Amino acid sequence: MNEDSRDQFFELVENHALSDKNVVFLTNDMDLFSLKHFKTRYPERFINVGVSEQNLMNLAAGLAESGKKVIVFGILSFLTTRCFEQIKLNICGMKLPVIIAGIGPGLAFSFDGSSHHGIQDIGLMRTLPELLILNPSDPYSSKKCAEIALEFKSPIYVRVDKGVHSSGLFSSNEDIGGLIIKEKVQTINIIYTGTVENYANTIFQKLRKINKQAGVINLYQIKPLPQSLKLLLHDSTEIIIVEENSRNSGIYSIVSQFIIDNALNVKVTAFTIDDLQIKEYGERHWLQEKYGLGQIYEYNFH
Amino acid sequence: MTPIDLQIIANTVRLEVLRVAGTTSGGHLGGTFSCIDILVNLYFNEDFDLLKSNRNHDGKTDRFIFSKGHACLAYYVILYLKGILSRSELYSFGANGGLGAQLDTDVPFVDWNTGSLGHSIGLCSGFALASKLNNNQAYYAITMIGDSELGEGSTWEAISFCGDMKLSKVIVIVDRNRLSVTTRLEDDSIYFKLENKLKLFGWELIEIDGHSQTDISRSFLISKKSNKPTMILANTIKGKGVSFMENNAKWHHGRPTTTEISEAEKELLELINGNLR
Repeated sequence: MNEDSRDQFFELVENHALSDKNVVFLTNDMDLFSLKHFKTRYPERFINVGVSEQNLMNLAAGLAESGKKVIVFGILSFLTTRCFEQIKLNICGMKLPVIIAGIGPGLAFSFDGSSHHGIQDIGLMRTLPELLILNPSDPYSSKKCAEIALEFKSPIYVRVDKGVHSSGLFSSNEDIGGLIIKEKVQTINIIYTGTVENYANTIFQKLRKINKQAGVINLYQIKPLPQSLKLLLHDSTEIIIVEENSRNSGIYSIVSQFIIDNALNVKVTAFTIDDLQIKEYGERHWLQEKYGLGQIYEYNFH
Repeated sequence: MTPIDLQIIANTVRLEVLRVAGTTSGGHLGGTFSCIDILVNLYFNEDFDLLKSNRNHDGKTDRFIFSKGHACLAYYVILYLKGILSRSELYSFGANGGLGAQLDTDVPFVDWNTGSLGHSIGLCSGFALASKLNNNQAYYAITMIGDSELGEGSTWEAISFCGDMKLSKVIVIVDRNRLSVTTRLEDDSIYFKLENKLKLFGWELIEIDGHSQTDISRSFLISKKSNKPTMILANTIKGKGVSFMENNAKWHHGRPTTTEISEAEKELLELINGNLR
C-alpha cells in the first residue's frame, strides 16, 4: 500500500465526524486536507485558535466537560511540550475524553530543527497515568487507531505520521490487540514502533544470515503496554527494539522497565535516536541514520 | 437577600474560617478574607445556579471555577452553612485524608480541580463555546481569579479568544487585593488602564468595591445583560475584616495563635453585631 498514514487516520475520523453533531475539531493553526469536507460544512465546529496552545487545551477541556467530542490536532512537539500542564491537569486530571492527534512523530519534520522533532514526547506523556498512547505506523494501524480513539471515553494521545513509508516487508499482519505480528513470534523478537519497518527488516535479514529466526512485532499501543506484549516478553530470551524516539523517551524505557519489574531474564538491545536536541537539517532518513539508527548497519549481531 | 443579610453571613464565614484555620497548620487567610463577600453573594444571593446540579457533563448548568483555590476554606465554610458539608467534614481540613488546601471535584459542587493559576478563563471559554454551539445561551461560565493571575500568559490567550468569539456568558471576577505572596501589586503594565485594554479585546470591564454587597450584586446584573465577556474588577483588601490582618503580606499564609484568634473573633463579632443592629 502506498497511502499516507495521516490521511488514513483523518479520513476515518472525518467520516465519523460528519454524522456526529458533538464533534469539534480544534487546532493551533494547522490545516488538514483530509478534513476539508467537515471544515466546509461545519465551520463553527472547526476552530483554529491560532498560536496559543495553552488555551487550545483548556478550550478542549471545557468543551469536553460540556459533552462535546473534541479532537485536537497540530504539530506533535507543540501539542505536548508547550501545553503539558493543561493536558496534565485539565484533560488527564479531569479524565476527559479528548483526542490529541499529534502530527509528526520522530524526525518527520526533519528540516525544521529540534523544536519540531517528536522524539521526546513519549517520555513526557507517559508520565500521565490517565492517558492512552497510540503510535500507528502504517495505513492499517492508522485506521485501527482512529477507530479506537473515536470509541475511547478517556484521554487519548495518537502520534500520527505523515507521508508514505515502507510497509508490507513482512509475511504477516496479524493484529492481536495493541500490536501486530509481522513475523511469527520466536524467543528472539524484534519490536518496533512507528514508521521504522525498514530498519526492523534490516535487523531481521541480518539475523537470518547468521541462522537466527526472529519474530517481528509492530507495537502500536505504547501505554499501557498491551497484555499481548507482556506475555510475549515473558516468553522471550532476547528482544531488539527499534524506534525513532530519543533513547530516554520511548518504548526502550517502557519495555525495559517492565522486564526489570517482572524480573525477566531477557537480553535487550535497542536502536533509538541519540539523546540529543539535533541541530542539523536534512532528509529524514539521513538524520535517522546519522543520529542513532545507522548503528543497525554496523552492529555485529551474534 | 438584603445587603445587610449578606454582610452578616460574610462575617460569619470569616469567623468560622478563622476557627478552622486555627485547628490546623494554617490557611491562606489574607486571600480568603478578601474574596469572602463576593463568594457569599454568589452562593447566597443566587444570581447563578451554582448548587443546582453537581457537574452533569452536558453543558446545561451555570459553572463556577474558583481559580484562587487556595482560598478554599471560605468555600468549605459556605458549604457547611448550606448544610452540604457536616461540621466534622469541615474540620477535617488539614487532617490526613481530609479536605485539601486546594479544591477537588470530589467535594460537592466543585466544578474543577484547582492548584495551578491561569487556566480557568480558558476552561470557561470552553463551557461558553459549548453553550453557543448548542444554541443555548442560558448558562454562565464564571471564574474568580486573584489579581496576580493575570500575569499568566495563558489568561491573555483566553481573554483574546473570548473577545474574538464574543463569548458573552463568560464572567471573570478579579479579586484585586493588590498583594501577591510577597509583593504589592500596583497598577503595572497589566492593570494600568485595564478597562481600555479589555475594551480593545472585546470585553466589558466593571470596577467595584469588592466588599460592598450592593456593588457586587449590581455588577452581576450588568454582566448578565452584557453582550460581551465581562471582567468584574473587585477592589478588595487582603485580610479584610480583621484589623491586624488587613493589607499585611504576613497573612498570605499563616496560622493564627490562640491570642490572635481571640482578638480577631472579638473584631468580627463586633462587626456582626453592628450589622444585626
